[in-house]
Amino acid sequence: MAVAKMKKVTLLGHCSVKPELTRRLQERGLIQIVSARDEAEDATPERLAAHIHDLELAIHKANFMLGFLGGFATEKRSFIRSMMTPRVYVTRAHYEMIEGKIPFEELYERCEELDDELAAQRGTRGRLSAQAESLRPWLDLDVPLSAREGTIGTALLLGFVPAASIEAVKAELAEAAELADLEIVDETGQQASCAVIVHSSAADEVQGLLARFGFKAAPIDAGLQQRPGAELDRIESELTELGAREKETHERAVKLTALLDDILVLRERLQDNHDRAAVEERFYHTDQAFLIEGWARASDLPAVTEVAGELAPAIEVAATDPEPGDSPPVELDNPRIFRPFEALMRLYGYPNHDELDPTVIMGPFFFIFFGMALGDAGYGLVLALACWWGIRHFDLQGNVKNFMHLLMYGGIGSILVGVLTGGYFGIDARELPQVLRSIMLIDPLNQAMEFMIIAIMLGIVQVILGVILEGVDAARHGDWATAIFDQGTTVAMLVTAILSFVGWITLTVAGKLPPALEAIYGPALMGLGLSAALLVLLQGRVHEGFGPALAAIRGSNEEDVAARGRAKVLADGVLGLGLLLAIYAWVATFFALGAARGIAGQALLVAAIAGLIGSPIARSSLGRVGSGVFNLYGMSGFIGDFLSYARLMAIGLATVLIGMVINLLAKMVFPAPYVGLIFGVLLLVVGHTFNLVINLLGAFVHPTRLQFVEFFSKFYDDGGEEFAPLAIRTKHLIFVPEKG
Amino acid sequence: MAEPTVILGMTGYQWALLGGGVAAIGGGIGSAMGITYAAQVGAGILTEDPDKFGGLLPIVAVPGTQGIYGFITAVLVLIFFNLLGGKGADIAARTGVQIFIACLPVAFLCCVSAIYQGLTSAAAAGMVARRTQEAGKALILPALVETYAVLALIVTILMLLSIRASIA
Repeated sequence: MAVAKMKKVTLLGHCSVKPELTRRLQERGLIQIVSARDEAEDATPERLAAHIHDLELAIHKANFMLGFLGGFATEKRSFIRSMMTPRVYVTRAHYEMIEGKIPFEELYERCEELDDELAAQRGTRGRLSAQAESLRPWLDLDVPLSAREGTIGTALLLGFVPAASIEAVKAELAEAAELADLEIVDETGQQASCAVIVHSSAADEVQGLLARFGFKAAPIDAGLQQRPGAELDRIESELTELGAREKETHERAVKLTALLDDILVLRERLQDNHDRAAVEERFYHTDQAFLIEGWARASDLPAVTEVAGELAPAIEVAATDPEPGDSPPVELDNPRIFRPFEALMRLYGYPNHDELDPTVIMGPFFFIFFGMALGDAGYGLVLALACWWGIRHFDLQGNVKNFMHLLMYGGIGSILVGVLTGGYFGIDARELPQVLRSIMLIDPLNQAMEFMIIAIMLGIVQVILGVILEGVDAARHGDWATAIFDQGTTVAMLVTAILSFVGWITLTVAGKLPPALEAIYGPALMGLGLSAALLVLLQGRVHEGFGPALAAIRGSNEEDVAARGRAKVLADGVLGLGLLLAIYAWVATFFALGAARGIAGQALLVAAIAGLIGSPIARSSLGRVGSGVFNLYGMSGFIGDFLSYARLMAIGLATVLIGMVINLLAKMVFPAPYVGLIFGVLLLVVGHTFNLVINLLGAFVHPTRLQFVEFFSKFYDDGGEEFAPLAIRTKHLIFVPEKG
Repeated sequence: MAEPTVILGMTGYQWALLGGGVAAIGGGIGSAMGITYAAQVGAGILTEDPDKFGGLLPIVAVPGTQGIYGFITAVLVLIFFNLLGGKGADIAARTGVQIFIACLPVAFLCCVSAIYQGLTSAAAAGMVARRTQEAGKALILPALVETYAVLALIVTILMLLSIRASIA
């Protein structure tokens, strides 16, 4: 369990080898280059800026082509594959030579042409369809549309009147204007289309009259001159012709989709070049030399030296340890078997570079908790196999692959828990074969309480482990006082409190204690009293303990000594040490006395508490005792943390119960004649799949929450920046070895 | 004192059914409402960017668990007291009322927590819209709300167990 050790690397070299160096570093993914140069210091060299600009333009063009041609891809993809990023298998040589293999600019122009052509065709189609639509109500009009222009003496109005008022219009028109004639062309719809011929002199009057009835002029293009029927025939033949042209353009585009993979490879290549140029932009440089600063894994140092050596003597390498102010990027370095759990670390946020990496400790808990939350060997097997198959079949990579491995582990955990709890696709434990029943430890349905207690016990172990980890972390940084006074008292308090509670509840329920518990009950109670007293005294401490005292003796703590006086610092230290010894002596006494819980032990307890309260530390702490009491009150939060693990029982039971219901329903369906078998099997398959998927969500979310909220909150500091070396980063390409 | 066969006009069998029913109803209503909130936001995001489907689906589905808890409670009542085996008539009126009371934590808490979890999920879905790579973190926040539905389920299960133990 570790955060990988990082080294600060400085490379100084001659400008002539810069491109070659960055290329090699990128290929091997060795160094995360730190933005070293101050932006304002000097501008990016002209040449580099232009290069970056060109690359950006080319990437933009490639993206356009991918988007455009992607729309024409005919290859059928399954639902799952269509949700995944498209990928191309490519050899390293092909990748490196890709620029020369496809006529990029020419291809781009062809795509642009096609795009323009299609847009023009779409426009034409839209216009023609609108014209055709506008002509349809006038097909019975046996007059050329050019007549709309009118003659010297007459005007022709074409338009729509609401069908309901057509008779009224007719009547009113006949009355008001003799020099007008209205002819109905089509009155099948809500709006009747009608043609009105009117003498020029009455035109204004008639138009006014028609407007009152809601007359709307027909939206027929002025360019249409023939009879509506003839115009429509012409437009339709034009549309047919257009269709053929569209099809032809479409086919040309489809032909180009054969190059989609190569364009994708090229785009990735361009992106990598761009990454490299963007990094080069951040180098320190003079006319002749450049300087790179960055982080590399300590284990990669030989490789860095090797790369530099290949370009010697133009390159000089120096590596140093991180200095106190530095915050190196973080890479987790765990045994292979624990790596899937790193997915959870990534989810929460990588640890601070100075923090412990809890992956190895968290992993087994997640494994068991996931197993308990799914809690069925059948579902576990299906899940594990599905993940395994998914990884193989879809050739998953990177984070997704890691996550699938995590789920696969969860599946295996479920198999384990399922076997121990007799969970096989929700089959009733009583109907299981004898051999399976014999390896059952617990029946969660009928022993829900016991199952819950197991879950809470695991939770207690994990939470206390979290507190211990915080102490280990403090000790690792030399802060032994915090480790012993804070985490030490907390752990002592938790352990004694739990033992006391177990003893008390057993005594209350059963009336007497089993011998083992009887032996520890008394000491546990006394320990609880002692640790509570110590917790109040120590966690509200004002003294600095023996650490600063030692430093004062060594003379490395002069500031503190000057501020508080040497004698006082030393006295504090002696008292701190004395107190520590007292605690150990106290614990040792109980071990020595064994089961002694008579008057002697209790007197000892009273004496110790009285002594503590009377001691100088305690007296000086009295002013701060409020803070200690507050911490004691804070201990109640642990109760909530422990009980939170009870959820594993409820969620595990959920899977079992729904599975049982599905089996029950199937059992009712099976006896039905002929279709019973088919429907029953269908019900089982669909039902159990549904149950697995739904409970998978809970089985992942809740154990994850337990890690994050209950466990991590005790010790974990995130805020580490993930190590991201300059490398060939591609989600779309998978490099395969050369054939032959 | 004679054991009453009917309490408030209902037999033990009816009380037990009422309890299981109320639990299923409460959880179902809550989940339906909760998922609606989350799905509305999710649909809006998918209109803009259909690729986020994978990240959004779990977040939208999370408020659905309360409906399942309600369902489980109903099933537990049916199984524990052998209602499926046709032994419903054997349940004393007093036991029936106890079963009904035991179902109430799930009925209330699953309903309310699912609705609020839906609101949280809707906000978390917005988070996925802006930062897809944080979909995992966005899933944990609504899960915090669910704790109380799970606790209610635990309480209900323990109560049902104790009732069963008392009549055995």
